[in-house]
Amino acid sequence: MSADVAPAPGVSTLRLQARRFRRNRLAMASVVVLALIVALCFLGPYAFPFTGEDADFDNISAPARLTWPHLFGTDDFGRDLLVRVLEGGQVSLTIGFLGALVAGVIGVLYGAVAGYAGGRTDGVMMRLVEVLYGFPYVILVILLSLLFGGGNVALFAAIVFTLWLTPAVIVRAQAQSLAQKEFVQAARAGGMTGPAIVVQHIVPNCVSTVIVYGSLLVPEVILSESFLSFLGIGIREPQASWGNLIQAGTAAMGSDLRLLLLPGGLLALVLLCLNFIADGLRDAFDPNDR
Amino acid sequence: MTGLRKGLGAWLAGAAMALALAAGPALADDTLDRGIGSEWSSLDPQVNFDAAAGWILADAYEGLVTFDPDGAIIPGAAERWEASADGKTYTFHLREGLKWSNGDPLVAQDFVNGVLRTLDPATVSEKGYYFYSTIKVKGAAALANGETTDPSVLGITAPDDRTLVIEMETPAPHILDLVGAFQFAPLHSPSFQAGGAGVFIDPAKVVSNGAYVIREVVPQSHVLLEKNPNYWDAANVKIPFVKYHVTEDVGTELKRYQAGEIDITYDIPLADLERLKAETPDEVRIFPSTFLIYYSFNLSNPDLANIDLRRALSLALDRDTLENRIVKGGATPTFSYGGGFDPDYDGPAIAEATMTQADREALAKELYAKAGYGPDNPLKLSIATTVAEVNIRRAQGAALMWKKVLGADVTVNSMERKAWLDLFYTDDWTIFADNLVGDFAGPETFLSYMRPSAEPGYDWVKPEYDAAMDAAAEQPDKSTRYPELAKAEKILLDDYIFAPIAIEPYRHLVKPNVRGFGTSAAGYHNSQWMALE
Repeated sequence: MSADVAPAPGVSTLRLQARRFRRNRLAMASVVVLALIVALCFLGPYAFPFTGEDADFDNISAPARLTWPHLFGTDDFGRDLLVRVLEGGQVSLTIGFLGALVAGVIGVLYGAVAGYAGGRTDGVMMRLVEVLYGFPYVILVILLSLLFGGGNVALFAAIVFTLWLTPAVIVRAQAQSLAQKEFVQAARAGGMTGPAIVVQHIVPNCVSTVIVYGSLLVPEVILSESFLSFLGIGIREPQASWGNLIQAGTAAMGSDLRLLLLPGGLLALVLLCLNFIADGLRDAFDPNDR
Repeated sequence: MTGLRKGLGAWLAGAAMALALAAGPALADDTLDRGIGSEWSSLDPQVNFDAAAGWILADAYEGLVTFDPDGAIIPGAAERWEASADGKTYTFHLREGLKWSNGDPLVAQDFVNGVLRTLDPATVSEKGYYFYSTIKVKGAAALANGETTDPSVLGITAPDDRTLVIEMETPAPHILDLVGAFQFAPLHSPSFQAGGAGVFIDPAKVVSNGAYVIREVVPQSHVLLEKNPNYWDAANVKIPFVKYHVTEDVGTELKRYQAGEIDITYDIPLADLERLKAETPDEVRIFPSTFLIYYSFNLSNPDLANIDLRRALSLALDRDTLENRIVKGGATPTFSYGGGFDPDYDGPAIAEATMTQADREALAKELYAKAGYGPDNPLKLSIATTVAEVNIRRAQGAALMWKKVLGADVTVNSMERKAWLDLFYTDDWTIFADNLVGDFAGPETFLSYMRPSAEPGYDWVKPEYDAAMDAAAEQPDKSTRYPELAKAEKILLDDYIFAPIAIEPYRHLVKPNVRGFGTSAAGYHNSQWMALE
């Protein structure tokens, strides 16, 4: 880690920002913890001789004794709790990152086009966003899952469909001011086409906002997935996700808190890490905070 | 969607409870408070088809016979009866001096009028089939399907005010189970003709003949009954008032019970069952009902058309583990269809019932492989069930067992009750989490439902079974009829068109000061036998 405070000449803004981020200990610790959780979720289940969908009827509702093979015991169907939580993590994290990426890309492009084009096109595009904003979220998700026949695809579509709106609005505001900047006008005067300007000038100049917002979008998507699975319209049993594991855990809350604590604790930890990282990124990218 | 509905239901129940509390204490010691779950669908004795509302009506009306706390048939409005030698004609003799609650004399013709109204298509009652199908009363079918409106064709007649004769086309020893209040309530014609069906929910106009009369009907809240002084056995009715409370959510009902608002609950939440059994074993009452759970296989599915595969699926289920360690609802595992309800019936079970579970699983694996499935070619099926928690748990447990023992890939498809019912007739299912509630505690109510001619949804063609059931129907009494029914059940079970799973119990919490609450399999619990101490 570099100790010098004054930026050396010739260091790019991006490198400068990365250096500032690395100095944020909480954010760096969060990155390490998150990486560990991700590695554990994706590699951990291979260490066990069974999957989270295999039941061990001789050990139904086994308590957490930290003994092999059921380290954290089993659920009330005899399935290994730890493996199920890790497999649920795979689903939740994949949907979280992929969902945020797709929603982010759609939102950024939509917002950049609207902001750059301006005028009537901008008006129509943003009114559409407002109409979609006005639609009750849960009802929209239910309609979409009916349309797609339920399951993971429907859930993913529903989450992306509702979460691209906010990045679109944020980027559109940025793009609107960028469209008036001299370098954009110069590009236009030089004969660059609209789509090329959006992709080469507008979007790269929005990137810091997008990264900060994107890192906040990931926990939002994970939370949405968990929330919808909790309500029973997301990931279906026997496939695990943190949402439906937490739901099963709350049903047994009175008798066995373990079923709620493990998935709930991991979800809370991941959300905290992502928020600290987003916080660190925002500090690093903020030009007023040198 | 489910979660939201549940939440709303709980909230509504909570709101209703708050209202009930605000209305003031009605919890004096002279009132028995009973839970009935959801709101009664009807208080019309000829129309109501709902078991819980049937408790209210069994208190308010009395049939020819009635049922003691443990479900045994005892004389009701009729003091004695006799059957003809061929078992086709039953003659009932009413008690002397029977009265309606308003003091009018109760005569045999009132019972005939009740049946006539049940059968009249204009009444739109689902209970007509008791008289033309469950027992075959002469002329009942013609009246029910509108061929005639002439009441004289009916084989139920009243030669005088105290005699009632029932003539049937075939003998039916189970007739006595079907002449209680639920199926055979009398009709007070003057009040009905004056007010129509509305009189049954109007406490000022309703006239009944049971141990209690309806005093108050508050939708979504309660029905209050008061002791009927004109009842023939009024001297032995100990509790002056009975109040039936609506509570949609079982969890809320448990709280009301614990708060002392309810003396007998409608159900017990499964999540609290183990704890309650440990803490208050005397208050938890669990006993078998006539609610049979079985998983039907779709015979028109190319995979399931193979009997080896159906047999493998049935054998791979460890019913004991499923019911006692996964579902934990107190249900009794079963290997038969019509057995387990009437102790007099010595019916068959599936052929492998005597094996150990390990042997059954070994055989299941063998049959599964023989049917052409294996790790490279796993069977893919789906279980259609309702969204009720107990049903989902059972289906998930069964799917895990099929995966563990056979390696089959089975998913659980849960849906609202109505969608689930409709699905059955579309044929668009592979395994149906089926159930049947018997009309009485005997094998015949189940076995006659499975006749290929009676239930087209199963796609089961089996003339031998129909013939065996017809042969049984000729027998006038249980001792000769039951062996014939057992032969028919053997034919049914040998085809493995379903996997019998369990007999669901009734679950009630009963306050220790309530006396006289028995274990009736048919589910009749008349308040007149109970006392508060």
